[in-house]
Amino acid sequence: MSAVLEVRDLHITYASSSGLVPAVRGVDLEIAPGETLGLAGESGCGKSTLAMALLRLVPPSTQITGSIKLAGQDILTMKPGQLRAARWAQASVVFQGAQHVLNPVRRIGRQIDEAIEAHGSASVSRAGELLDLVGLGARRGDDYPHELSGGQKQRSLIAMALACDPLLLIADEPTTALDVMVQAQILQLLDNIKRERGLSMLFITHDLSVLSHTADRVAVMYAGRIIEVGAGDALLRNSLHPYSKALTASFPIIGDPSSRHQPRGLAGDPPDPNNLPSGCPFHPRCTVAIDECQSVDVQLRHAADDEERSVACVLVGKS
Amino acid sequence: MSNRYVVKKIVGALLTLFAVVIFNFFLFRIVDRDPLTKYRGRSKLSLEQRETMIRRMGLSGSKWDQFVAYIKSTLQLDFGRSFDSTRPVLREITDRLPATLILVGVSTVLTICIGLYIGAKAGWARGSRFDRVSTSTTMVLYATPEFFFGMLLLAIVAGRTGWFPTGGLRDVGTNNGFVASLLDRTHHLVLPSLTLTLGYLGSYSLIMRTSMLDTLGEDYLTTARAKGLKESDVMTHHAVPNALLPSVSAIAISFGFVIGGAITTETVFSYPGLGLATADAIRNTDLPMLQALFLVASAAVIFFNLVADLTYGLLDPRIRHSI
Ligand SMILES: Nc1ncnc2c1ncn2[C@@H]1O[C@H](COP(=O)(O)OP(=O)(O)OP(=O)(O)O)[C@@H](O)[C@H]1O
Ligand code: SF4
Ligand SMILES: [Mg+2]
Repeated sequence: MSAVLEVRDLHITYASSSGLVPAVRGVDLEIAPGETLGLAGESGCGKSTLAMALLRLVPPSTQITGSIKLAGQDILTMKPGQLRAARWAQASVVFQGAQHVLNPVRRIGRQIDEAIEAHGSASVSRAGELLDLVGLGARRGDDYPHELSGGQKQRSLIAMALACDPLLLIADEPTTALDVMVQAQILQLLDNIKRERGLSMLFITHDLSVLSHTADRVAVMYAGRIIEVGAGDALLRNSLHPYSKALTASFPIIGDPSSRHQPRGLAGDPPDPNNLPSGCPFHPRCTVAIDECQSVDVQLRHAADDEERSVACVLVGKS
Repeated sequence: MSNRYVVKKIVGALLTLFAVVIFNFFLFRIVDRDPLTKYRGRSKLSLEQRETMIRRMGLSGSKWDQFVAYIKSTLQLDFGRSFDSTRPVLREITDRLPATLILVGVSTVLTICIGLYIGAKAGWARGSRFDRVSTSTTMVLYATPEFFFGMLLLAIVAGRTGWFPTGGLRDVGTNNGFVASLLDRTHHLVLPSLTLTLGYLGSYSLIMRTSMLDTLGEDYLTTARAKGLKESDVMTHHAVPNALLPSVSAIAISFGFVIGGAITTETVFSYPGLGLATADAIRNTDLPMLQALFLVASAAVIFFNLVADLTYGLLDPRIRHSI
């Protein structure tokens, strides 16, 4: 069966007041029907940028090149009308930071139903049914966002994302702002929904440990590129790239916000996209770097000993 | 919105009004040493008559006695008699109130509707042709004092073409039926209300444009777009309802200026409302009239702010539920 999502050589460059910001620099990925791809990496490596670009939700001034095929159709060449029809019907998003994602002066139920109405379906309200499905209860449709707790908001966002029966669910750090108990409940909910509906999912997180339960495959991102990708369990148990090794060796403590920006065991700051190091962008922080790393910008390539694995490191996969 | 909130706001408004009443007492007691300086026919008064008048005006006795008398008569809406016409001040005011209510009412509704519409559209399409043209126009409107519009309209539209009367409330001697009289009054209302509308359109639309710009970067707009909504729906259902909130308070605050604008506009068009009465009372130092007019103007501003507070509560569920 053909892939639900197929991204080829994607480059995304923001135009900001201080110049061009290359946030995504050549990403390839695909997601099969029913598959969950986990996308992990430190803050600022370009995860949300990638996710937003999948529905062309980046600011209009942003340059995007490459191709993004959702169910075979290239999002980047669509006309506005086609794009609107594809949004939420092909892929929907559970956004990062539920705090400001909902309109504070519009009822939850309306915010769910308007997605259905935008796609021309009958005007029967499905909000109640969807809110029941995510365990919130249909009555909550009459509430305004400020009447819900963080976890309840996240549930209502999931209900909203299911409104148009999408093929692909993009979950951008859906549990980051929540406490541990609620986090586990939301992960469970997403997992159940995915299984029942046979959804594909792109699960974005800075916390590799949550991927061990959810992801069929895992991709690790650094400085706008995927630097390692492979089958979920195998990658998490035995990562090959020095950066993924540092991440997996130091599963951040769930619910500890400080571990977000500074995973234990990994010194230094993530690189500034405006001022990337030469060669392998990880070399200033890499403990096993050799001279070559400062000049050779190595591309993702198959690792010799694992068919499904690809790694971007001079030390890995040399045959 | 709880009843408590409504009651709290109403009590607050009444307290503010009471503070104005007290302030009024002192304000009009420091303006002139002899309150009868400007009284017509002052020279013909005997000393006794003068004292009787001063006593009637509540200006005799100790300051405390005066204060008590003042509060009593104010509560009974007894503001004394106009120096100028010698009719009761209350009569003067109730006679002129409807004209001003219509003028300010029509202009306020027009200003708010047109101003918010232009501001919302301009802010949404920031940098577009509509934005550039409308923003430079509203800037000019904002910076121009309303008497200038008034004089311009008077000279060009009324003077040159004669399409509209140059002043007054209605034509004298036209007393033929309700419809004709209504048309006649509307005819007289056009230029004054246009003047007042042009005078304040700019500030309202600039306020709305700014709050629209503030909402442009909000995440919920991205959510709405992600759901496949049309841009026009994103604007009307998501951006505008949020941008209205800060505009409501800002508009309420600027309502005091509209009242000031009514004074100038009515003067320019000799439109016999409270604004013209205020201008006349200032010219004649008609203290009893001024005192009452000042109170009416303050009450109008306080009332408008009360309406804004209640509207805000209706528009914003966060406020509605928290109080
Ligand atoms: N609108 C924008 N204009 C300019 N630069 C931006 C914009 N949005 C994001 N960036 C920059 O692009 C880079 C990638 O940001 P992105 O939000 O994709 O990171 P992320 O991996 O999702 O991080 P986090 O874990 O914090 O969510 C960052 O350096 C960020 O500062
Ligand atoms: S290429 Fe060099 S610097 Fe980069 S990860 Fe591999 S060893 Fe480290
Ligand atoms: Mg992000």
